[in-house]
Amino acid sequence: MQFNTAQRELTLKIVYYGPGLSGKTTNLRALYQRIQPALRGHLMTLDTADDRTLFFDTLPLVFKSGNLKVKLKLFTVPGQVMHNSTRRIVLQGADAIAFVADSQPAKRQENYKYWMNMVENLKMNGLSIDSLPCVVQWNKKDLGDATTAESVAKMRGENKQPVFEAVAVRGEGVVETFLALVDLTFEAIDKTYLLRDKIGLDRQAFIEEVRRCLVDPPRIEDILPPRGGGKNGSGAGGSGVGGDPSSMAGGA
Amino acid sequence: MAESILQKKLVLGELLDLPTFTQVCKTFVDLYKIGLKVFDANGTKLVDIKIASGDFCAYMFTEPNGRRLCTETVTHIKVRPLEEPQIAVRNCFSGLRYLMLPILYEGDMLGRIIFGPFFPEDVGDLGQDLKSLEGEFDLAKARDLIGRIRRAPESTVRKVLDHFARLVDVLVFTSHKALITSQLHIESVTESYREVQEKNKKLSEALERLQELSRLKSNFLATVSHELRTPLTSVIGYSEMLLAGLAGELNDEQKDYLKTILDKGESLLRLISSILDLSRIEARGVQLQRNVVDVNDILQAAVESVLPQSFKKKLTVSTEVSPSIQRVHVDPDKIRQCVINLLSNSVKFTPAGGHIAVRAGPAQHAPQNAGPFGGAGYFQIQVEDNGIGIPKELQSKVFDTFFQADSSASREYGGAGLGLSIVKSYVEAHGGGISVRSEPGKGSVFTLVVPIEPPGAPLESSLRGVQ
Repeated sequence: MQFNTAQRELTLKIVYYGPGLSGKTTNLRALYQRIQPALRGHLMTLDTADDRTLFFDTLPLVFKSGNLKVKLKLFTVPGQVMHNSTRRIVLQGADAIAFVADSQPAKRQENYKYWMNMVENLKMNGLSIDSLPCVVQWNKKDLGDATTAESVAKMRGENKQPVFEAVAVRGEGVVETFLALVDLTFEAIDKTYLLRDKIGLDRQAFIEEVRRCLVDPPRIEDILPPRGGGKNGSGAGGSGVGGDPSSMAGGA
Repeated sequence: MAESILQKKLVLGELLDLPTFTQVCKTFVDLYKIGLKVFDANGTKLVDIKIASGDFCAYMFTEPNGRRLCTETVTHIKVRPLEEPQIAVRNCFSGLRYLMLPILYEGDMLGRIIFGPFFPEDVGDLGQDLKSLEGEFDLAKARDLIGRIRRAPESTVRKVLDHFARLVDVLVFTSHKALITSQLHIESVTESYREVQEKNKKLSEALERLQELSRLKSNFLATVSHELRTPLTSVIGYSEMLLAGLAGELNDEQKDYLKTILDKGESLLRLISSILDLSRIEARGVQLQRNVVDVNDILQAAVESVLPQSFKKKLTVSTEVSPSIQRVHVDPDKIRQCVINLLSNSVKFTPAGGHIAVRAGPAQHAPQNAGPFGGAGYFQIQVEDNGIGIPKELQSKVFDTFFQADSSASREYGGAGLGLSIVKSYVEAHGGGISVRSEPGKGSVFTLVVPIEPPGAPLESSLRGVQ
């Protein structure tokens, strides 16, 4: 995070992480479509001939919140296994993570492996998943099965990260994931920089500003729990908070 | 890691290839006959192309007041703060005009474009400020010189400026993309090289350590084998010879005594083997020889090794392997030893006629540090019996070395309390864990949870252990 107090400028780096082909770039493309054209920068995609992300994708969003200039820089990492060093570089200085998991049953173990890979790469950058704002998006909800639903419910039950379901290719759940993550991120940086006390910027006002950057944004209360409540979100068409903690990590 | 290009502030002069960019600017100036300047965010001039205004401006510079006013205008267009993506206007004292537009990229101001001077159509004659300097300048000459400068409606120049700004935006974006691609490629290669170097160093150190440990291990095992096993083998051997009647006929009481000596001798041999296992673990940790194996094969081999004892006690032993777990990447000898130790305990502590079940399947509970997707990366093996069970208060201690639930001198069951400790060491060496659920009088369930693949295994490996 870069906070230039003299110029009243806040730059946040949000990274979309996850297995190859889980839909990270699709998330960014869908989000690009939903951001007011005047506020978004270029969607830069460094991809290969076969349409796989080579280095990363980036999408800047610039807006004013009160008299603070805010720059949200969204990145995706390349999902292909061979690009681990690039994933590590892209994670450098990350302020928040959206982990895009693949709902397809055959990809279950990939999700686990990339999560552990992310934890390791964060550690190499001096960061920790325990202190970094993070949401999990189960993308390709339409390709999941009953065991996926069970895993999602279990994860919600664990109450560690807000969990969303999405079909990014249709734009479903994308904005919800993004807004929830921005909200968590603001909460985290506010603890350090006391933005409310110092420049009178509170969480509600901030998230409303981000909402205003979007075309047809969802209501915050439909995405996030009441302030002071748990961290779970329900996501697009999500089945709400639930799950049985005793049946967590159900394997196959 | 070194700071990435992604973290660095962009500088316009580094993004654009200035000679090429200047050529592009020249074509614009030639086409529209209006001067063009480009400054970076620090006020450094990158491009400055004049057309037709040179003589007029030079004439204005010949007198002190003209020089002063001219400098004011030039300073203004160069440093006036521009934040909004809107065209700003600056009128020169002479009646000429400049239009300015910031180059904004990803919310940062990279520089500014200045179009001018041009002679706006809405201005009929020289500017009032210049006319007021009639004593210093020959206004007829000034009119002649200014007439050579492009006369155009401001709205037209605005359109041209807007068009040029879009072109610059594309150039900046394209250059930024190319810069990132090349720089990140270098960073990735550097990072991969660093990683390989680090791993090579670790491998080299590990090799040295292993060679040293291997030497120590060989010495230790040779010593122990000789010092403990040799005399014990004699005890067992001579007992067997006596029992076979090689030293003469024995009566029944003598045979019973000898059978006890033989039985205890074999127990002692097993105990020594366990102590050797534990010594190895303590000396150098558990060294795993991982292979991709079938869980079912491990279970079958383990069950076969306890069948004779279970048969003696008339115990039934069943196995069940979930089809969703097939191949796993573990040390098969260690995992088999774990299952054998658990089965041996079950056989020992289950009354005659009891039942033992061995089950393998997806993990129901992943270790705490496994992350939210942990369940997908682990499998479990459960050994369940309907034996005497373990009191709740002792369940957390059963994995301690030398621990026995019944430590009284008159205890009914034998053993040194090493079996579960070894199981724990082996399972933890795999990155897994062991737990027990038990109720006195009803039985016990021991559960091993083991990663399907080594934690931190390369992403490209894929066992598809879980279907």
